Amino acid sequence: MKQLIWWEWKLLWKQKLIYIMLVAILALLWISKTYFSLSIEELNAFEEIQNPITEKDVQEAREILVTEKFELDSKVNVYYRIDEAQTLMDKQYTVINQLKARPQTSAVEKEIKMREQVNTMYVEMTGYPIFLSEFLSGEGLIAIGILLLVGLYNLYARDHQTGMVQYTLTSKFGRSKLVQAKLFVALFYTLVIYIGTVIFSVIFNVYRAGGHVNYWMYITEGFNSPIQFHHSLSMSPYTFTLFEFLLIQLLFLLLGSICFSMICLSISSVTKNSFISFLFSMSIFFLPFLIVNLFNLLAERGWIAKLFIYTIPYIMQTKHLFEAFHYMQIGNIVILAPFIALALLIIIMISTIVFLKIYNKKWRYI
Amino acid sequence: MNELHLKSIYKNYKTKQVLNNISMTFTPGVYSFLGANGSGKTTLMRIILNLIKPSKGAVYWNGQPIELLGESYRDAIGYVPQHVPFYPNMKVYDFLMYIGTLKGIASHVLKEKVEYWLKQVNLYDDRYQKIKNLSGGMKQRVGIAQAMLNEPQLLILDEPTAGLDPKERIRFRSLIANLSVNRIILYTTHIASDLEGLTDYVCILNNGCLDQLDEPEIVLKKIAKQVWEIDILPEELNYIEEQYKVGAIEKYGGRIRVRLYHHKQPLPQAVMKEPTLEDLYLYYFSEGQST
Repeated sequence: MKQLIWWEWKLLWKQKLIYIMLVAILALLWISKTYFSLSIEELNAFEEIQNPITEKDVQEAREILVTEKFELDSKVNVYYRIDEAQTLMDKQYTVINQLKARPQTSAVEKEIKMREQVNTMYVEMTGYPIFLSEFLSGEGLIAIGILLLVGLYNLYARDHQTGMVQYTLTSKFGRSKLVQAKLFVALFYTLVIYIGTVIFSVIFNVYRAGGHVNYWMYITEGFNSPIQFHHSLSMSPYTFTLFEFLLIQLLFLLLGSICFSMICLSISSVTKNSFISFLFSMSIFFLPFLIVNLFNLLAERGWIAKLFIYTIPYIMQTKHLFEAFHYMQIGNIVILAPFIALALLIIIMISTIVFLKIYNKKWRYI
Repeated sequence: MNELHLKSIYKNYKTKQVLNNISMTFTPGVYSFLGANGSGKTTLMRIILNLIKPSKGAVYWNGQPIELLGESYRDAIGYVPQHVPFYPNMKVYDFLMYIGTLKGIASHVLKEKVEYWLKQVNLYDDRYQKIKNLSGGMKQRVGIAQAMLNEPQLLILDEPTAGLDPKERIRFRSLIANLSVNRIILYTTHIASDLEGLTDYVCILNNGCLDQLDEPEIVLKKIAKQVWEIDILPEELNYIEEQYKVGAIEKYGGRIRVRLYHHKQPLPQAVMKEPTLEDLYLYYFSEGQST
């Protein structure tokens, strides 16, 4: 079995397309890189904040902002952030009041309860964790998608394309252990791509932070801030810190990557044609993005948009699951979007693995 | 003693019937399947290999359906496909090591086996060559080596000599002859001359039906007294081809020697000949007038 895994691993890495795409992704990231723009003085100003902030701090900040004397003040971003903290809090209260005016269902009650727990009166300089989170759900996600796609679309299809399937299906391990070996290799490849991307994201964003100022020294800042400071999550009813959210995001990114790789493998196994396998696998990953952006579905926030947040790439982005009170109700039980997404990923993972095993053992013919 | 049994095999592709009620039993020996292109030889081999499913019927290995046997059946078979497939850029040695791994051969014996078979098929010196750079004959020998790694009790060769030059075909034939002891070898071909002195049984597949299955001498007896040779002038060839089923044509001097098949003496100067397997093939599958 070890030998078989080793061979499959070697064959996977012999695909030139992986290296071509890797170089292309790195080149694009390098060309399009941007730096954080804060001065050292501004960064130091954040250090002086006493958390949690009080109403007095808010009042003071707002007065300074109104008097327009702030233009020369290095603390301007701090004042804005304090003002933002109060604004975010106010928005939560507004939503709570609106919810209280509605008929009280178990979902509404749950949302009120969750929003009442939100406290945004904690101000830190949040640059790095947010940039990291955004990078992971943007460039990082796309890089993972592309590298998984080019690495795995051909794992079975190449056997059909080259005719090697005639050996695999007639050899002792061809319908049993080979499936396990390919599954293992796909999982391990996914882990390598995932860990590589996460490490790269952490380092690349530190580099971006150090581009203009010594901001990289502040990269440990902001992880304790509430997720409402993440601009995509300003109306989130969840009470996570940015650190907790990053951990959740990494979990969804990992599980989504595994799901996507299992789907690629299943498609590759069924289609028998490399090009069709590539096309179908690519559609699974990129079609939801295309449809959502083409019809601007997320801005409309209709039920179709709510469906799309449960597609694999949007689950991997994570932020859409937490941006609002997305849920599903079964009887009186309210199931929150992250749990639905988690269940979906687990179901997809298990069903594709079971499918691959049964299909290759019983139904796979040339 | 191993036994392979085919029970009422049918295979249809949409409306086309490719195999029609094939039933036969194989015990150790060389079985040659003769048939024109499209006669169903490859389809039958693929059904035996469980690469495709029959529309009806079943294949049994030592009394057990092959679908149920799974690994133990696959462990007993070796297969040389028509055009030896390989991964681009794979070297001969790596290819055999990979196939050996797929066959479940333990790593501590695999290396020895690979080297042994590389020597047997005379490819040891070319073991680090990429397969894509080998000649057709060498590729076929790689095919044989991979099939033999697990020392199969059932060896299936699907048109293994197609595209080989005469020297390679002779080498290939002697290799098969050496392997034929105590195993069932199923050999499909439309080059009947390859089978002379090699095959124990001849199976003739015609339009998906099994026309003949017997020892070569017995099958050949059925066309005895129907094989004729005649010397003619070149301008008479068209007439002969229109009137009779014609086999080999050989030029010599200003004349042509034609082998033809007819149930009675076609022309007074025709001489009766002993039938060969090539005659048998041409008798069944060549275009022309019926006998």
